[in-house]
Amino acid sequence: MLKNYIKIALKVLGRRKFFTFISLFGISLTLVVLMVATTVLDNVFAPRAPESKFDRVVGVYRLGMYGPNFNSTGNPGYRFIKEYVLGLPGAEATSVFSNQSMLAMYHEGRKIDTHLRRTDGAYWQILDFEFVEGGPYTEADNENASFVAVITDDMRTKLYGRGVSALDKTFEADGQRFRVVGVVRAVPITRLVGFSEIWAPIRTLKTREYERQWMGGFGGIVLARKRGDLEALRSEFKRRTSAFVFDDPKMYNRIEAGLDTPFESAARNLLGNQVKGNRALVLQLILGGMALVFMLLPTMNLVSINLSRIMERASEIGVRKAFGASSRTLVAQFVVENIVLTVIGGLIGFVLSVAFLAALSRAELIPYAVFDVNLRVFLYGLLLAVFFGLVSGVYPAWRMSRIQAVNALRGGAL
Amino acid sequence: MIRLENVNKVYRTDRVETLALQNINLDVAPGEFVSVMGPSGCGKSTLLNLIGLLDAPSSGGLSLDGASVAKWGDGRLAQFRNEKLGFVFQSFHLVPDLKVVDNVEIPLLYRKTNGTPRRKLAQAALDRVGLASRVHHFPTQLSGGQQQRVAIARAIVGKPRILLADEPTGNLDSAMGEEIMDILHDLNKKDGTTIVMVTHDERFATRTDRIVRLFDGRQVA
Amino acid sequence: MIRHLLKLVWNRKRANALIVAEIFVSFLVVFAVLTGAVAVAGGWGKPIGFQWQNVWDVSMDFDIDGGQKASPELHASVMRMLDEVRALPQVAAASVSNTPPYAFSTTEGRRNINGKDVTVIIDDVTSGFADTMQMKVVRGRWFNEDDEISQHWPVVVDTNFVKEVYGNADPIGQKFEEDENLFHQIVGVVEPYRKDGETSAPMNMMFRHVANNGKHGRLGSHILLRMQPGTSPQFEVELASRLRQVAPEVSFDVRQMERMRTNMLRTRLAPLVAGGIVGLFLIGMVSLGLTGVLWQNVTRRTREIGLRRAMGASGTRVHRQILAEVAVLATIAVVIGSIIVWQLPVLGAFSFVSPSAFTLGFAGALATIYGLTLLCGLYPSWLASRLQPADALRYE
Repeated sequence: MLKNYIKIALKVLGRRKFFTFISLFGISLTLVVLMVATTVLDNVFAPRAPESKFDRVVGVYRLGMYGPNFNSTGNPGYRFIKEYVLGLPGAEATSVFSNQSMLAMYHEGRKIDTHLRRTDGAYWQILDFEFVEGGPYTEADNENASFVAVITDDMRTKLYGRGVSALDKTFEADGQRFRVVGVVRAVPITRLVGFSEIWAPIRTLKTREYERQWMGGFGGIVLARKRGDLEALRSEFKRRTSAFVFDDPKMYNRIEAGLDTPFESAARNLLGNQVKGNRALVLQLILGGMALVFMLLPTMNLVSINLSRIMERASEIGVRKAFGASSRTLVAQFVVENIVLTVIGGLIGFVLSVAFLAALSRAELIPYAVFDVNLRVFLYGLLLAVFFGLVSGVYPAWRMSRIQAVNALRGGAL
Repeated sequence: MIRLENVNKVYRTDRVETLALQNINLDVAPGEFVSVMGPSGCGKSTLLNLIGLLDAPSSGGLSLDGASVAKWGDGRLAQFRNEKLGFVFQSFHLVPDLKVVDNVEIPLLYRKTNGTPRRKLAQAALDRVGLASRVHHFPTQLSGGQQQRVAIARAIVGKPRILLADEPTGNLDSAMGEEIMDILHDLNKKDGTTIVMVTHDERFATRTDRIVRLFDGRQVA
Repeated sequence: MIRHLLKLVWNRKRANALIVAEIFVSFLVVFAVLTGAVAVAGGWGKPIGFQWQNVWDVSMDFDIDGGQKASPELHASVMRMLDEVRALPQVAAASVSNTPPYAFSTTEGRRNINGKDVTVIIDDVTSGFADTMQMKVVRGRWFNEDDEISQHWPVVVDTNFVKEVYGNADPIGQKFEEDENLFHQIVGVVEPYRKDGETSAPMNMMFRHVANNGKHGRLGSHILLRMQPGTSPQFEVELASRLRQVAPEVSFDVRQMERMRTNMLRTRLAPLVAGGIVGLFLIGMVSLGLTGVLWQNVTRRTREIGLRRAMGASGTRVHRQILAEVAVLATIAVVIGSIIVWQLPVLGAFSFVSPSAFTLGFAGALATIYGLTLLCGLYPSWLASRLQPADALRYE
């Protein structure tokens, strides 16, 4: 029966080429836009290498300090991370690292624009980089302020040429000479904690000024033993920071910070500390709302096209009813027709998305990012296609079922 | 009033040529009430469409009100239809989305008549066909006979010299058919409107001044 | 005729509601995209108040906790670097700045001056800044040696600031409170300055003086250099090594403002381009859909069209009537859309967009929607005008 339905549906769609084209155009391009957006979001926020353990990692990426005359929000300083994040009870591991800073290197008379991040040793345990050669530096290297560095394979090519081993070779950055101990696979710039092109121990910073600053330039992460521990860690952090002692209470007397997932951190950045409660949920709702509004137009478009298709076929429907088709079979036929249409549109959209994302990766608009459509995103897309089919088919079908055979046959209306 | 000379009408599709009208000669005097009869497919409606300037003859001459229409363009034809011709159809052809009075006003929309006089003329036309009380109904709320009377009101609202009726009683029972015929006769007698009516019904045909019979596109009487 | 059309549209309201809704949403989309475009790119080609060509930026890696002063050592290091670069023959002018153009950092403050609340954009600069950025002083003077020992904290503002705060009064010498017992004094006025260049909206700009001797001012983390035209990019290497010699304890990065500008433009325009593409696609889709629906409408109303022809409407009239119906639908949608859009400024939801950008976006959306809907109606109405009346009347 269903096979029959689908066969008829394909025939009808083939006959109405213009409308089939409009519908397919709308469905597939809407899906492309949504799939590309989901893929980019997935690429930024989902746990993937080197942040594959980030389903149980939370971090402090933003600190707000408030006082009667001054407000200051930004990245936390080293001192804050050291005193309130490092060694948080109950955590499997904790780490402190600087923001990646932009850096111009002058290597053998060439200028190389790159990024440098300084980290402690634990950073390498919480993140799982894929080492092409060598390995990470250790906390002992950090303690001793050893001038050692990890670089990406891309950086290795820029410094020493393609395929040349970099181990124990040196380079100069910001007036300091580092020895390469490890080379990792390049990381997309979209990774909040994982991205950089050169990594070096924190202690290699030129001055120790950073050790006394509450604000600026650093971040800290906490790895939980299991996902269930995250809440306990958050409340422990809250308990600790509530006892924050202010250097000068006349200047600042209140701080705002929390252990965030990367998505929660984005929500905190976009919505600000003022929005209380579940900021991540708010951001999700906003994004979902945008997607809904975005889908509204294509849906309305499909509904109106479908409606006019039905009205055009009113007399055909009348004939069918007169020959004994029940309303239900007609509605079923129409809904099947519509779902066939949207699934075809979905497939086209899927192919187009894959092509577009491949082009996007190749264009290197976002350095080192590789956008592949994963299964999850594909399932979202499929779900959307079916949703489209239902929404745009059901109302017209309902209208169709109410067409009276007599009226439809008489066609009396002009 | 209406003169057809050696009129032929050929319909061509990519394979077949159908001769719908063959060598028709017809002269209708002003104020005459002519009925056209013949079996289905004999070319009655084609003839009416030609006279109504809805279609052009393949060959032959057609003149209306003393003027040859052969060289007229679309605008001139439309203007003539609007001012001199009125149409009544078998299946009424009322616009379902418009109320009765708005349907009747349609011909006046295509000439320079303002809103208030337009409304008055429409009312008068409806009055004439005895539907003054149904002004604000939609067509679907009326019986077939009432719908046809609305159509007649619409045909005469512009005071045409010629009224063309294509089986006006075809979809009606005989009582309603009689009513419609009475209205047409009234128009013919009182206003001197020239009427050409296609019909199947011998009874109604005999009430007219003259019967033209067609068979297979040919005039047989 | 108009009344007749309105009746037709109204009596078919169920079928038309959807079309109106679609045009309405399209109107909002076009309005949002256009307003955004005008807001970001509307100032393109207008003066920005400075010259970015041949400017290099030495971006130093230090943060000073908000409101605090730099340590004397740090201040001394930065001044040594400044002196070093000024002595180079390749450098025409140099200055310290805290939030230079295109650097993705902005200091915004609210001040109450003469009982007026104003939002100001602030940069902290040393006296070489006007030469480095090649700004034009229109009143008073730029910072000079006298400001080093001034008892107030000298500032230079731009003409927008003057217009907002002082109107036509003479701003030179005016004082206003910055902090307890600390007063700013205006010494000069420069041409309107748009800090982030081409994509910046006009702003009230204020430059606070940073004294070389550290007496007043907030030390910024950028040293800006105006290079002599034709200086080779290779000179960066020498510049960096000389700076490292005089201040080995400071981490820094040398960048060319041209690149920073490209980066800024890309960042600001990217969302616009993405929004434009998505908007274009939505509108394209709606246009196709609308064409389809109108086409279908004409088919459905074939016999009505035949009837109208019989009643004396010429082909041209039918053509015009169908288009007029589309225009009526568009007008309904646009009126609803306008009512909603004009609530936005009242609600303060569009405070970041200037009134002129808003108006321009609105007018553009209006024109686009009418243009598009009429375009969509063109083919179906042409089809309608081409129908043979005799065929149309017999259409099943």
